[in-house]
Amino acid sequence: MDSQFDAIVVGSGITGGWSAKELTQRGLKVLMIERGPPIEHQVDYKNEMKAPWEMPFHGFGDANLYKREYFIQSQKTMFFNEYNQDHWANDLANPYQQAQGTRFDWFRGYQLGGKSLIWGRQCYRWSDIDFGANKADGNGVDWPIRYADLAPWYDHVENFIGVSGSEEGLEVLPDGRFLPPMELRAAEKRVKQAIESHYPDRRMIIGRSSNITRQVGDRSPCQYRLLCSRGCSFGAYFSTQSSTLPAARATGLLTVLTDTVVEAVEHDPVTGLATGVRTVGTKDKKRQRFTARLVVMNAGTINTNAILLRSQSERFPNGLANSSGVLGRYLMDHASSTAAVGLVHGVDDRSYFGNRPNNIIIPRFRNIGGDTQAFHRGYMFQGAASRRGWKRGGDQAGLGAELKQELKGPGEWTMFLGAFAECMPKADNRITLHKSAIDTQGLAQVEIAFTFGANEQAALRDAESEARKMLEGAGCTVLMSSSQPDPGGSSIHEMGGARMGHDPAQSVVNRFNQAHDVPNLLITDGACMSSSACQNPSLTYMALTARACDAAVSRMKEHKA
Amino acid sequence: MSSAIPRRDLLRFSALGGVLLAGGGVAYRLVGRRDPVSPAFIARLCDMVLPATDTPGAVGAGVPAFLPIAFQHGLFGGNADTLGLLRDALDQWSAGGDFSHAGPAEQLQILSTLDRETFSRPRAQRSQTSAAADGAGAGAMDGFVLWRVVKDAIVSSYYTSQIGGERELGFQLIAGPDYRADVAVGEVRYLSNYWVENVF
Repeated sequence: MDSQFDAIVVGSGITGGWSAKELTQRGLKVLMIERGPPIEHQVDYKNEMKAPWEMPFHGFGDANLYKREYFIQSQKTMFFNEYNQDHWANDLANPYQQAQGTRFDWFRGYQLGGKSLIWGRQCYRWSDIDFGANKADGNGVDWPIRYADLAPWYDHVENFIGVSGSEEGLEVLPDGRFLPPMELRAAEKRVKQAIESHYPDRRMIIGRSSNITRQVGDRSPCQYRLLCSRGCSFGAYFSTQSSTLPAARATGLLTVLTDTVVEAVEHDPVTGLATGVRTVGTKDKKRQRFTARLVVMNAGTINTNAILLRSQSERFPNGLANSSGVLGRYLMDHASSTAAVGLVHGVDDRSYFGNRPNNIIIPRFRNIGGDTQAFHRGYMFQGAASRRGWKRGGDQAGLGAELKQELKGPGEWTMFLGAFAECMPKADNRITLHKSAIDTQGLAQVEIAFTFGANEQAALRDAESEARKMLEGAGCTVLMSSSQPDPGGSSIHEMGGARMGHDPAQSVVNRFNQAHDVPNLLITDGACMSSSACQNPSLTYMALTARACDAAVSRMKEHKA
Repeated sequence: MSSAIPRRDLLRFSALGGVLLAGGGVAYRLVGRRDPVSPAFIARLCDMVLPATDTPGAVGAGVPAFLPIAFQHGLFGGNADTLGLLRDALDQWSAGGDFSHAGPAEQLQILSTLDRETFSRPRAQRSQTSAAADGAGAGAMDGFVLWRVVKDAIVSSYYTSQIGGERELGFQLIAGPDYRADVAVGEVRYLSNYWVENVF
């Protein structure tokens, strides 16, 4: 295999796929390196069409195995299961450290396509409120870009991946290029009507999702199975496999190397440029070198930081592109909680058929417009109404034919509102390399220090209070509520560590995602984020990646770095 | 309380269970039972929870064979001792000291009482967003959790079997053009494969 390329893309997940697509379509010969095994679209989705009785543990999985080997990944009980367990990293085989007194649950997908196979598919644009937040309240560094810089790239991404959603005209959540929205369920319609009549500044809308509601290219519309994380042979949601990888492969310019970890990015102190990467095979332990004129870091927030921290040299003793000393710092993840769950009354004659792979949202309404709170920034709600199913049979009194008859039909309607609060950028929330613990490749393990602060706690307290009020205002009986944040990492929206900024002394990348110190090194995954907003970040990662790749190729064509 | 089980025994069951489940296998030995749980005992429990009607019940669906395997692998919050501990408790309440050899009416009376008592007690709330958020206290158990665990296991195993999931209820992996977001209850069949519902 060749060892010389125009560009190396480290990682094959949501941003890695986008980098590969954008760079190959602009004529570059690209090597994409993935640490996990290959998973090919359709042919490798081995459990996609299986019923529970075709699985060894009826779809619930081997709980003891999970305790031994998937002790972090299996905490995501809504997502992780027997059908898709191979799409999550084995925690035992891939250890990391958590700094004393802190906790960060690191959810990972170590396979071709990365977490794009198992992501939540929610797609939201950021607004100027978000890009201006750091500057407005003085926390973190100012973003050197604003919405206008990214808007055409949001268009570009949405047109390619397909995003279903409704146009709402909200400043806080700009509209995009939407496919038809999915319909709300009866109980959601009832709660929406009540919320919007009581609170003129609030909206409850269907999620904006990369589950497509019309044909997009050769990808079929969503079949309402909710089997997405098993892999979707219909290509009905965006994943590397369904979307960007076929596009990149169609150019004939892409080489994919799987089962290979990038140990470090190499750097020439004379030119000041990255020259390529050193790798180690996860199975054969084979060490290789690959060279390129451009290196794009898309290994996922924490691994991108780790690779750069490992890339030490005389010029960069504390990690590549780290002259500022901030590399690894300002790690963020949305503070999530089960804000409230309530019984919805008056719609027991209504139901649904099939599985909608989408949720409702209530966009942020705090600290915007005329609203002012004691805490900074805001939160959004995501949730859904559903009828209790047969599972209630194990949670209520009753035996025999009477119980069986009762479980023939749906149970009560419940409405869940989960909160996602913006995470403030804090220097002490940090990724470092552990001094002694090594992984199976012999590389230093990552150590993560992470805590939520007073601002996140205050936002979640307000979210609980408002969720209760909104449900009660809709006539619901509130069953439970909480402001207790889930452990850090639980939102799987980890971002930061190589933040974007104007000032090379305070940030790692510039407005086009070039490392300030190493101009042919791009960092376009979640690592580049300077703030977290409160909406799901993947669409923004994709737009930043497409924009950065376009600018990089333009520079290369002009014979600049 | 209308009960086939004296209140003092229910209270003892509650107190004992705290030790049993916290102590696992050690506690099981303390109870003193010696023989493995019989397939007939498991089948009887399954039949009392979900009997054959116009469709086969839990026994016909093969739940008694699956249940011990499930508990061996830690499913439903149980473990290898769960069924034995429940049997021992039920034996204590049986007039002859052996639940399996009690008459069907007595067995049903004992289990019905236990069922009512169990589900009249609040259980720990659960997080929708992360099992880790439930915290250590969420797993704290009293003796009635034994029955909660076993009953949940029987129900879950039945409705994820082909008989329970596809014959007793409906099963349609691909909704496709049949999908309806908002429809009258009577217009559609209730499916067993609604993968996600709210927990609390």
